[in-house]
Amino acid sequence: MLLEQRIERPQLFYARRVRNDGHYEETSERQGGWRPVFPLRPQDVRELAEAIVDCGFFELQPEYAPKGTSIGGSDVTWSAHVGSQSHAVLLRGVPDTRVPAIERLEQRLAEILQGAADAFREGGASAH
Amino acid sequence: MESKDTNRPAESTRAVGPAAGNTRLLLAQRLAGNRAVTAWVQASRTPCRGCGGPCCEHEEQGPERSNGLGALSVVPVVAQRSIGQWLEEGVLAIESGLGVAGAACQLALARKRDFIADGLRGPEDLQAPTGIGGFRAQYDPASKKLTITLDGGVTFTDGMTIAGGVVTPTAGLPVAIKAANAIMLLPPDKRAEAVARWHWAGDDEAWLGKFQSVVQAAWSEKFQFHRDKEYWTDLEANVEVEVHMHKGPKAPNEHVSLTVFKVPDDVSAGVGVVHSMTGSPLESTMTLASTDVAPRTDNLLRRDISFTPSSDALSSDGANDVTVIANTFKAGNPVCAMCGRMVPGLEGPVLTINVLGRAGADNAASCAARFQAIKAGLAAAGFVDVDARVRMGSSGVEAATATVGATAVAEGGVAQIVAAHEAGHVFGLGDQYAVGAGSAITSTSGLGVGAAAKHDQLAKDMGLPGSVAENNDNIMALGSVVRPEAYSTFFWALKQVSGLDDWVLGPPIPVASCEPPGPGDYPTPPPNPTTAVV
Repeated sequence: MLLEQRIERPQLFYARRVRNDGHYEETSERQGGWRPVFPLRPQDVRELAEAIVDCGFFELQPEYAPKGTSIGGSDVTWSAHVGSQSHAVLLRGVPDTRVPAIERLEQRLAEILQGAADAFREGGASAH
Repeated sequence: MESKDTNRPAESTRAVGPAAGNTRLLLAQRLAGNRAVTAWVQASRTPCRGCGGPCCEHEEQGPERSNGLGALSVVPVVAQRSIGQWLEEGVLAIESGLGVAGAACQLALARKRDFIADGLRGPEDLQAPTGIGGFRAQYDPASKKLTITLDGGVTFTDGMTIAGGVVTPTAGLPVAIKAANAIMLLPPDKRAEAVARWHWAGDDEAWLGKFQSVVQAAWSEKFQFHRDKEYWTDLEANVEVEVHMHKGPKAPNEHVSLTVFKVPDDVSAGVGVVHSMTGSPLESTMTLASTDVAPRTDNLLRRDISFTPSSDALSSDGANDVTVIANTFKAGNPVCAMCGRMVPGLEGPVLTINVLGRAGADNAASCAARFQAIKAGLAAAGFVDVDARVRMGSSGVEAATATVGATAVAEGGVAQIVAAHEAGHVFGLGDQYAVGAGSAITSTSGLGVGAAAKHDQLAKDMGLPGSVAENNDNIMALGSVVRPEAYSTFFWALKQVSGLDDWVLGPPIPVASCEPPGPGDYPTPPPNPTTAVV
């Protein structure tokens, strides 16, 4: 697994992940089990690995929480494995909790996924 | 009968001497207890801090109280008469034949009139002892209204953006991420139209109005308070909630900064968040989705139950449904150790099972069999007091190809409006839904069934058993019902702004006239009474 995002709150669970083989999948509490979304190309997987390192993911704290009392926010866990590096970052009380490095990673992820989706739609995607 | 100054006799005829002094002490004790006696004695001996006179012209200071933020404040002067003057009138009332009780009554009524005439108490910005949220409270004894005000600014944010053909969902919003996954696969010329459903487009002001009306309607005029003091029990407080939100940043003297994410009208986003700084009623933030001002489409008080087609037996999914229902709606209060039943008044959530009988079968028999299968499944899964808490609701006939044979409805089953629930947090209340293994409500954090909610002690201070976590139709759990415990922070606020500690939950109790019936003062009988003696 290259990158995974898990979003949890008492009445909801959602997760999505990108695997090293390019599979992009999602699951939720109602779904049960992983469902494929669309595949990423090898270049997409490489760009995502670079984005994870470039944003400083492996230097982030393991947990971030808002000051004060947060009721009802989501707990978002990002997990990444690039080469020999593995790390997980928990953000409590999202969206009140914001980490710039994670926001940069999310934006790059959206850009990479859009490129992969365009390629898949146009029939040029082959991640395996 | 009102006290009248004209009844005060001339100076030369006022009672004097030890007997008058003892009567005055008796009245003071009767009216306000030994504290009043001490204050009167001290006031008669030391110069008044307010006017410097030998007899204090100011009412005794009210009880010191905490304003919820750790500081003490003293209730300001509320009456114009001195204790000496009160007692003077009391002596006169006694001398006129009303007796101590009548005199105490008249003085109490006069004091109550003065309290009311002194007008508005507050407003004051408060944060409940729970350390959550913040609001403004004021009490007007004349209009009998406790006004709870919520002021704030609102930022309207799109739930999804598109730039350069790249679709980006709002961070941490699963419904937006799932939708974005699908929209990304659309041709570029179709994406903008799909993303537009996640954009505000001139509907923000209407949303503001809806938010205000939803919160006000949910929280206003649900319960009354009255003062639990002799002759004062008709002094009441009726809660009215006012919400004043505007587009734009929160001002420093406002309570909450609200961010609303736009989602399509058919999406239940599950966003609701309230964040507070303990010790400050003016630093809360709230996050909602645009659909949070309407009942949730994913009503957590209802769950379908599947049956094997052409059978009255639960399917494997149905057996799982029943187990989840049993785990979700566990009772939060203890069970009688002797009989194993719920304690009256503290029963857990009641389930109504709406059943569809098998197509082509004897409908009554099929519905009854399916209902019994559900009850047996609930009991096997540990649902306490099944016979008392599970009842059959409506019945019908299932479609030939359907698999859903019944729907379990907890309590009234009315879906929650998330905005009203989140407003409860800003009013100082904690969550009351319960998480647990095998339940529909799961989390690595949260209260277990029966655990004390953040406002548990405040509910006990209001004379209630407390407030525990339980999945029912409570507005701070899964539903929309404002129960008495949900008024516990308003109760606390009333005590703060009024300076009175003896409020209780319940409608006012009329106060009888002070006058005893005099000679010949009897009700006029109706004409031609049937029991007339001739």
